[in-house]
Amino acid sequence: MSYSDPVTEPIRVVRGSSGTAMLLVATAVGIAVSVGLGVYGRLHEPTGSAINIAGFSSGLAAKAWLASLAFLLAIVQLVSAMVMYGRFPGVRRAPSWIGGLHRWSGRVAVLVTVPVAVHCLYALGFADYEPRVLAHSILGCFFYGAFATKMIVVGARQAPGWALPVVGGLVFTGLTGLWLTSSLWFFGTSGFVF
Amino acid sequence: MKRYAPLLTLLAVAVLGLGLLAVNVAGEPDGSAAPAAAAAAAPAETTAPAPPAPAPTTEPAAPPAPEPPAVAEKAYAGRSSGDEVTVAVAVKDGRAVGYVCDGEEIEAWLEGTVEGDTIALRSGDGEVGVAGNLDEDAAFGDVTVNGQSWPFSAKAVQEPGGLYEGRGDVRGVATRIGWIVEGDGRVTGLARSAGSAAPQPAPPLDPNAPDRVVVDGAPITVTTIDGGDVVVGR
Repeated sequence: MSYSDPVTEPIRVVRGSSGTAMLLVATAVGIAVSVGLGVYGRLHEPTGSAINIAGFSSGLAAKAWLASLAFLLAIVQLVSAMVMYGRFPGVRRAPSWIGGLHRWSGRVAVLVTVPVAVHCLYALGFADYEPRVLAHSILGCFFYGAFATKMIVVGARQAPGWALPVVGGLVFTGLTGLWLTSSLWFFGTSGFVF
Repeated sequence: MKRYAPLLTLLAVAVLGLGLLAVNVAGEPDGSAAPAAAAAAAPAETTAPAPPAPAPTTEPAAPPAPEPPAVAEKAYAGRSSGDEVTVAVAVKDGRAVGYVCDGEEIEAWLEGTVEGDTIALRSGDGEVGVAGNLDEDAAFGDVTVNGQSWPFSAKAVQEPGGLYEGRGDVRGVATRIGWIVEGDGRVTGLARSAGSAAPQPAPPLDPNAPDRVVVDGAPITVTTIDGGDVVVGR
């Protein structure tokens, strides 16, 4: 079938090549962020200490609790995303406020991680003296790269539909791994201290 | 607006991160800047080849009634000729205590003796050793690390120069830190945590305020080490 009248001709959906290009750009930015953080963490001289956050017994306790808050919010992220995609068992129709919840819990979660990450990078750097520490260092770099990619993909309508859940899942996986290799380890060795 | 919301979030994260980093850098005590500046200012001393390292007078073949030590009490700090390691030795009443450290991966506490002008020290596992001679002004000799040997020279230092040991519980893990403060103010140190194979970077030490070292919120007790202290566990 051919369309001759420009008015009735279906609007061509801009997908395909430009969507792939957008995804590539987003991924490239994410990789740049990850590698940049890793290189900074490896090359600069770790100071061993940094500005402490008031109200906690130690900088490490503060980090463990902030990371735990971020992880809790990340679970909110996962559930609200499943609801939005109609994948949460028992919830047929997503309530109107779920999008707002997803956006704001996500913003708070990532902002809460920033002081933790700055302390890691500035005071400790990218370290590899035990498997847990190496995994944590790699995941930390990966997480912010995946986050940057997700922020670009979520704002780009041309990106293929599968991209957002995949990148979002990577961000969630990254944060979960970070929490397991830091806060859980800390509470396991030091107990629940504030 | 809505389309750019994620990018604004990204920007907010970047701004917050850089802001915190700037606060950290601004609030950093002079400790880390000063040694760097001092290191740049005094390269001549390090490159100077260790003066005729008197061959470590052949081992204590048969110690005939220990000679009285040539120096009663003093601390020395210096480096190996190729700048491989920093060496510090403190002597007191015939006893010698040392610390060998490269600030990156080599780190060992040593103990030994002073007989006449001859010093001989070794670490608990025997992998690191220092042997040489000393007088009121300097100590010269050879430092051996895992089978490799380098000549070293160390000048006599006054406080705040010398050896420092820090101990504390970091994240519930017993941690021991060693620092060498050279006469020109350069600080070389490493930290070792119980159960961790590799040493970690030592926090900056301000030799004029050694009681203010904190690692991850845990206060570190810093003591000046002299030749009479016990530093090697038995």
